[in-house]
Amino acid sequence: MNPTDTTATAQHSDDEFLASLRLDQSYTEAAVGVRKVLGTVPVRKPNRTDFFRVHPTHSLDCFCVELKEEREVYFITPALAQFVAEFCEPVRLRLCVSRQKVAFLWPIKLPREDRRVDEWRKSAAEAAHLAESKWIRLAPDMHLGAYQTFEAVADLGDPVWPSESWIEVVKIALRDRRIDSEDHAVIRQLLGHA
Amino acid sequence: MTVAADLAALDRFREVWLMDFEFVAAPGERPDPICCVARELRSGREVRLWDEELRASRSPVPADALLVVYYAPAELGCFLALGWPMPAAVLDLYAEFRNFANGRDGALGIRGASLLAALAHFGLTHLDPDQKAGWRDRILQGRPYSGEDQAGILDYCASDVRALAHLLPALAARLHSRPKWIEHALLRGRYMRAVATMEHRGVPVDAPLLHQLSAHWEEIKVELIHTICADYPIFEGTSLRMALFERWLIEQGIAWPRTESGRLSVSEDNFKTMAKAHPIVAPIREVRDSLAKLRLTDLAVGRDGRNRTMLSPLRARSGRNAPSASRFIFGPSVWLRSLIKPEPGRALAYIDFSSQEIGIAAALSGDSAMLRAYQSGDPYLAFAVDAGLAPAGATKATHKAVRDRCKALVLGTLYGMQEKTLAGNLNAPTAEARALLQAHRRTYSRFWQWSQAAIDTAMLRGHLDTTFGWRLHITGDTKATSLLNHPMQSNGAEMLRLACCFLVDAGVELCAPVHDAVLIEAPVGEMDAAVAEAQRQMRRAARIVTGGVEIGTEAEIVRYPDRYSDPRGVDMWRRVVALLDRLEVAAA
Repeated sequence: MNPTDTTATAQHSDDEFLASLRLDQSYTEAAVGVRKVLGTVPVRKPNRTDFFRVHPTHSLDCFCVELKEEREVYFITPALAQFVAEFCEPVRLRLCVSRQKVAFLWPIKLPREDRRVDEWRKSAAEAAHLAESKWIRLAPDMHLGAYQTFEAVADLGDPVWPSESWIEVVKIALRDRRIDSEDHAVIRQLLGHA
Repeated sequence: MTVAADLAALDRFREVWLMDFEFVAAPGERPDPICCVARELRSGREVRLWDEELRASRSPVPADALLVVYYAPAELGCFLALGWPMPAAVLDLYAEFRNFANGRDGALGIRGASLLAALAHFGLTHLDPDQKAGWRDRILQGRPYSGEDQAGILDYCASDVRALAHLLPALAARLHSRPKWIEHALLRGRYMRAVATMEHRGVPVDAPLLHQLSAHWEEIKVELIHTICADYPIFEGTSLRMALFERWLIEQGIAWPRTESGRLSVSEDNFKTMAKAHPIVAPIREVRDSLAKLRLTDLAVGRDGRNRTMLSPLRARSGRNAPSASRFIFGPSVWLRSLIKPEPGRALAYIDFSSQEIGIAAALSGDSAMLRAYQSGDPYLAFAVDAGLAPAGATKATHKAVRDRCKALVLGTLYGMQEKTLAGNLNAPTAEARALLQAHRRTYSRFWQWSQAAIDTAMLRGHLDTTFGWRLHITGDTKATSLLNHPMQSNGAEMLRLACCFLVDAGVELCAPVHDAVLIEAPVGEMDAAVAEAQRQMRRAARIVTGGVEIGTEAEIVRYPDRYSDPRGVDMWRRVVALLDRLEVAAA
């Protein structure tokens, strides 16, 4: 063995020894037991500047009560809706996620048989259908009298959905927006009892 | 846990020697050993060597023994000065005390990293600090020493060795449970040998020119300030006028950060950041922060024309070296680096890791997209293409502007740069900076996930370790954002330490470490081979630290009679030399 071979062998042995001293740097989340907790799920229309996707199956039809003065929206069980029927709107809650990975519920107002066709509702429903497979953004167009949809041309990849179940997402989103008793402050307010 | 159990890791060594030297060292000179005391830990056998006796003796530490010292570069510098062979295994209690305290010095009430500070922290008794200072003063006064001095200095030296015998188990008790602690500690000791070698060799500088500059420095400094001020219509005399500065910034199209109250931020840190982003600002920074404070006589240059100073290894939180900014030739303003010059027949090479932090981030996070971008050789342009900001096939020439933007983004994100700062650096709207940051997060999502996991790990476990166990402790004062860059910085420091060990072992003449680079020297005819070997050893170090990924290097060779120069300081150096020539002619 010549000196060069001896040096190479010594270095190889040194390298193997040093490699055995390495401490793991992967910081895998399992190692420290950290997972992202979904604590807040806004219920709102998509922001006009955000591209978003709509989950193809996660949806829930229900009634909402909108307090326009207070800019607050509440969701009411069908059994209670009869008490405040004139204030109730049928809506479909769709699970959405933005490019910034923010999950939110979009309450899309459903058409009502007792009213003429509303282009706002129709265009929103069509946009939601498109967003099941495409990244879009939505902007109200007052001149058009409907929502204008903009589809991203670039391939923005697949959306990242919350790991929580659909039921859990709904519970988180509606936890302080549910009207589930006749005695609820909103019902009392609407009926003039408070 | 008993002391014996704590020290069981040392059983692999037949002998363990505690040692301390007393020496004098004028600025820039190698240490001149006065005496040493060595004591074998288990047998208690003690050796005292005084001056001539020291020079006539061989090292009392057998080749296969473990040497335990406090701040090994100083002690090993004495080994080199005496021509003694370096010990094979070194345990530096300074390094281990730093590793014990790093990040929590304040919380533990630790002041500094001296032997006294370490002993005080563990409540160990030692010489009275005043008595210690008294003997240090006497040693520094130099020869001749009386018989009384000799006895007193040797006793004082022996008291430091006794202190080591108490400090060793105290530190071992706190560190031995860390994974692979003793192996990592010995690796740090190995680096201390490399540091001693570098401090012994030093960096060759143009000493005659330095003396000329020093002789005229006060005049040159005043002239420099005046010429720069004349070139920039923002000064009245030598004072910066904010209204003029604001108008000038608008003319230059530079978005300058402001304070909470809305005023232009003129802090030293801000000038430093802005000078990097906008080179036109650099001379203003020189006038404000650098020139007035610069004292050339502080540079530690020995009679042999070489700059030598304590490299202060492991002094920074990241584990990087922190040599004195005024005494180390790479410390003050970059234009002073033009004083670095090889000796006749010799050459120097500055070899740095290419985009080291990006390579480490890609390798350790396992982000394949980022790794591909790094391995493309131009991670900034590769990011632009991956993020859809430039078309496939774009080059540095065809897409310079977008590449420059992506460079600022890619480097900034490693430090957790936020949209407003990035917008300032890019001179772009905040919305554009925000879009770029979002593009980075999307393109390198695996890296971001890893980065957050590193912070979570640190906050949950209370510490963050490098590949070889350099630990940063987390306290209530630790800001999570300050942790973002830590894995890259601290593992980069590990990489350079390992590279220095390999270079010294391979016989490369290593002069100094400079952040993520090294300066080496060789005879002119052998420099190409030396650079090739050095680059091979640096790639080797990178592979080990990253777990298999190679980090490339770039080398710049300077052959006598040329001098080294940093591109950032060329303009300033020319100004200085022109002024010096004028003053020399006027004086002639």
